[in-house]
Amino acid sequence: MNELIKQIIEEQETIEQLIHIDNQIMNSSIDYQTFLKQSIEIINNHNNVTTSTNKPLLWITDGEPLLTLAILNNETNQQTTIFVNHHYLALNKWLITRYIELTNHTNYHIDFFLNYNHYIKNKNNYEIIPLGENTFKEEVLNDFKDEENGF
Amino acid sequence: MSDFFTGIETVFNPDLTYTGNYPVSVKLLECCSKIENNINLVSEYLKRKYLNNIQELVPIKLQNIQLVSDENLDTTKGRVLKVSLDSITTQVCYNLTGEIPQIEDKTSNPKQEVKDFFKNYKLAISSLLKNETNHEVKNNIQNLKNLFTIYLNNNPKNLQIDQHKLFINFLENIRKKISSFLIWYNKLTEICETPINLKELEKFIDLEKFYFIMAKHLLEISKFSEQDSNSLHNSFTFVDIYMQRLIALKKENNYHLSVTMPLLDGTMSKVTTDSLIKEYIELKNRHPEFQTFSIKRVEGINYQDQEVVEHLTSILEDERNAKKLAVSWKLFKKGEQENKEGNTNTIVTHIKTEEKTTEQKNAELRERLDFFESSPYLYRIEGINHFEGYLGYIYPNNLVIFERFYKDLIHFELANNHATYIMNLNNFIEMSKLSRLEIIKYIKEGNRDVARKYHTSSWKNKITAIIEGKGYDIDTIQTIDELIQNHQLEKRGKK
Repeated sequence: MNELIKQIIEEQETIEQLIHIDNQIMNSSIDYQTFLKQSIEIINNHNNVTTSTNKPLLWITDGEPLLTLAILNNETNQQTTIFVNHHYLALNKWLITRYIELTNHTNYHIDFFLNYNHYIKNKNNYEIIPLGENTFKEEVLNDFKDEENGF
Repeated sequence: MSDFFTGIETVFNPDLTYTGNYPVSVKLLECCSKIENNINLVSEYLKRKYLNNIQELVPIKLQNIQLVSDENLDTTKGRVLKVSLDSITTQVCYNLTGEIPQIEDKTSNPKQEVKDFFKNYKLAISSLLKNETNHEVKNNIQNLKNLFTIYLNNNPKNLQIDQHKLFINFLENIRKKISSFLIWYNKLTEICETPINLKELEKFIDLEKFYFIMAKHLLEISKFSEQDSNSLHNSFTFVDIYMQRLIALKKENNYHLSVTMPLLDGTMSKVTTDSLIKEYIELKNRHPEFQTFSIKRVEGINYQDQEVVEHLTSILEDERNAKKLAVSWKLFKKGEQENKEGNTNTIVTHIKTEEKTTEQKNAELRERLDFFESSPYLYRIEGINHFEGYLGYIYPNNLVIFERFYKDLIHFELANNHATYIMNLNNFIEMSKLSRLEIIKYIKEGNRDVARKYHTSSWKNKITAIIEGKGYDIDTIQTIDELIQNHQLEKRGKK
């Protein structure tokens, strides 16, 4: 993962352009220096999440790129999908592309699009791991419950 | 697309009568004319049959003659297309006096009104010729003087001629033209009141272009009507039917048409299939109350008959009350709110402070409500029946964003955490006919045309971006891919 940080430093110009695209579309205000600093913190604070099954992992985030980085930092051989809810496409794409190029971990896959309802339908095929704020996790788990109160 | 309707009568003489008239410029029809040997056949036909005769009766050179689609006052059945006498009268009056007369629509004696208008100018001309003062017509005198100044400026050679003599000739010329116009006025009325033969005119029309151009024209008429009375013009029925077929054709065959045509203000504008569809959807979104139903004709039934009309109306009411047309939402324009008596008044705050749960939840909820209320939505929808407690907002970009704030809208007890749902207006209208359980099933069946946004710290930014219509389109994604791929990376790390 330190290699990934090196790439973030070496490709500053590219990342600044990608940040600019994401900021415009997501109405956000990420800046490169903050992104680099927070990326280094995440890589250094390595907290492994242990999983309870051998099922493919489905990480569900609200698309924040630093969360994607945290998931990539939690290296595993299990099939892993990171669902980013069509957010921060530019930065997330860069992260997964560079990660797979550096590590050859082709078990990782990032889902950008509107497949969320498909995952709800096939929830039994995955181990669902929401990542983010507490209210977010609560709402995601609500969606995957069998009862109707997911709506 | 030219086969979908039965000719220009579909637009100008539909089977069902509706009230109201609208202008159709000759230029507009010329834009949908067949062209043969470089001749615009519509222009040639209208001139030959109507406009040349009219020009002979009028003492000025007419320009941009308007036609008018109106109710058939003679038979009270159907509608007619005819030359607009009003537009000719307006041009003549303005040309001869510099003033446009205020003649009421459907006045019982238009000729008398025109006579009265010119009477004052005749008096003004007499006063000027006799060099007398007449306070009753002082405005008319001033208008004539202004007109003369414009005449001089347009003909600089006249500055070399005796100005007084020139002014006298000018006034006498005007007086002659006024008299001539009034003499021929009845004959002019007769020609203008004769409906244009639509069957003959149709031979010279490119129907495919005609329907497209008329859809745009009538859409403009409705936008004009919207500014005045916040409702759509009756002629929008044709637009509704045509546009639904156009949208279907575009989807199936990528149908595309592009025309340059005059708008209501006379400016020429290029209109494409995409731009027309966009305008239509925006207008429909602002007026979901306008619905068009097509009914098949049955031979032998008189659809003007009162009993038939009542029977059809009651069938439509049954359809509306049945699940097929039922909606589960009350619709409010931005700023309106129905109070408990069922009257509409300005919006009231839903939060009842004596029933709040935790302070933090309440503050978040208020912030979210304020956020939506201050956003540029067109309509606010409140769920009823199965959707009690849901609030939604319809935006100009065709999206519906809704949230479940409360368990119901009587006690305003806060609901548990639910995501924000985003749908396209088209699928939302279909889904809103379903029960809540059916919708949940629809979502859990894997349908992907509903998006969820969760209430994270960046929720507001993301919803703002959605409302403002930004998105990762094909071009953006291509740019992203190029930026990522263009860096040549030597593979390192684990194998």
